[in-house]
Amino acid sequence: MNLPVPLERLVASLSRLPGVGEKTATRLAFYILREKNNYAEELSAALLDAKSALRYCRRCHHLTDNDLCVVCVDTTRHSGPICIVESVPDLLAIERTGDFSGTYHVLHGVIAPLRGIGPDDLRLRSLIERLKTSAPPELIIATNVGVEGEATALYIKKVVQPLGIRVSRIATGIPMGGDLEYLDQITLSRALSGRRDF
Amino acid sequence: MLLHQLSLYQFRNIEQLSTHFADEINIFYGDNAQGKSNILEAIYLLCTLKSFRGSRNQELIRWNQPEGFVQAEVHRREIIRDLRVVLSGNRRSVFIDEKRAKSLDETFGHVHAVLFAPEDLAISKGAASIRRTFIDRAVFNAFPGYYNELKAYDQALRHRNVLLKRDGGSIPERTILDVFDQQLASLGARVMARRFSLIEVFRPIFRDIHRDIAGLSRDADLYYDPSVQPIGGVEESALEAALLSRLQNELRKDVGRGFTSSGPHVDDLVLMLDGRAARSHASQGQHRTLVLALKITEIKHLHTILGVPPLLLLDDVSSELDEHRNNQLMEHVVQSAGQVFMTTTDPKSMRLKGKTVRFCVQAGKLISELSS
Ligand SMILES: Nc1ncnc2c1ncn2[C@@H]1O[C@H](COP(=O)(O)OP(=O)(O)O)[C@@H](O)[C@H]1O
Ligand SMILES: [Mg+2]
Ligand SMILES: [Zn+2]
Repeated sequence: MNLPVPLERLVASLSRLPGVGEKTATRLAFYILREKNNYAEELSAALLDAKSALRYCRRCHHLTDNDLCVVCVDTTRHSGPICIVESVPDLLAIERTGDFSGTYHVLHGVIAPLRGIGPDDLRLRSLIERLKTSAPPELIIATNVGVEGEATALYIKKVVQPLGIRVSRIATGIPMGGDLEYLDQITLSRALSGRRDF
Repeated sequence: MLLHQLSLYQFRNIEQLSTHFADEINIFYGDNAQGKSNILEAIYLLCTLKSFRGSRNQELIRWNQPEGFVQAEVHRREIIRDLRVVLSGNRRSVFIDEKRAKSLDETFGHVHAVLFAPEDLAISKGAASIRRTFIDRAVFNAFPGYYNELKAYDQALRHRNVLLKRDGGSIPERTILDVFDQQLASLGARVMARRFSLIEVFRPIFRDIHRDIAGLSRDADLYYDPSVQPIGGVEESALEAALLSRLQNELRKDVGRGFTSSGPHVDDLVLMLDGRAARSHASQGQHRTLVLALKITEIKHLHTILGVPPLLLLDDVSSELDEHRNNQLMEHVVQSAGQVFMTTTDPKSMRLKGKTVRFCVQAGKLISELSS
């Protein structure tokens, strides 16, 4: 089936979105076209606006529409630890817990030689600069648990070591209310091998 | 563990099939290329989500059909479950009691099967990778989390190999290499420790069974042959230290070759017969006996872990074994296995004690059913 060229272009752009296949893209495209009240204009304006107004925080590389992000403008948080995360969604997840009162540093990726991503492709240099100018009481490495996240954590630990800052790694284990009997094997194995003195 | 009923839809050359099975022995007989092995493959798919021929969906779904499925009613202890694997496009989805299973974790552990096919002779005669696959599956049966441990090791290995090749023969930047060496050593130590302890369990069972089949004058043995010899014990920490120092010592050689020379990815399982390595010294018949003993060990091991015997799938095995070994196999089968599914072109060669149903398979259909 041949779609009119403008429609095909729209479908092609939409299907580049993660998790959106050709079928869903076509459905979305028809929805956008059918909607009244200038929905298409509204959507494209929102897209362009977001793209031009949003940038990364000068200090921590979180998304912001200012020079500094909402976390970094709050100077009461500056004396706390720095939590290193892979991505903005990870930052938001930790922020939602409401338990963390320090600031963040977003790497925007992990070390992955297989995909050609090395330390220089991450926001690491700015981290070192940050640590040199104002040493936090602690650096919490919250990269994901997996080969790449673990490699990145080890790498950061090595390059930060000379600065003499306390480095910690988030724990993995059994969730609160987690009934051992119903826990998946991997979580349970990991919790067992990561046990601590009590 | 019992498979009571099986239905196939658009699977290989089988358009549609639905049948009940005997609790003991089920024989599929018929000419070549009729669909006998396809039925075993479908049962294996229910247990592992994999084809034992390593086939993709495209090859499993009946030609020119969009999708197919395999469904069975499984009894384990007092519990009855309905399992269904739907093949559609590149996807294999699992339904347990009509509910979509959310994770693979949920999927595994409902039915277990041990397959014995003529190609299994390669476990004794063939490349080390075949024996590694054999141990890894046995470890996985005991520790389902091993699947992820093995995958993580493989991923770390591929990252390191990229680093070795990246700078065109010169030594890569130290810090980043150290990071992957450390990961490889700790993940590799876990893999090795799991394999060592599995072999520890397998060894006495294997020796006994082999003696049973081959007679007292033959002495078989097996041991894990690591590429890095552990210093001071096979605890994970000792293995990790040994692996790490090997990776560092062999760096120059590894950069030259462009891959990592040592680690569990090149280790082997050595089968011994009368004090000599079976791979290079055993005769065809001796290979068969060794593999037979290994397979029966696998069944007994699973039986211990699960508390119930696994299903046994025998694909064309009688054509491979001589009469004596065939009788030995059948005796062990009747003793130690639960339900058995076997294929043969010659149903008369099967002399079996136990409740048996024979199905004649022709062009993807079950055309007759004989109970005895
Ligand atoms: N996807 C498929 N669709 C239809 N027929 C298939 C498909 N895959 C294999 N076959 C057919 O299945 C037959 C082989 O079945 P198999 O079970 O291996 O035979 P046997 O009875 O000798 O064990 C062959 O005729 C082959 O062409
Ligand atoms: Mg066959
Ligand atoms: Zn910020």
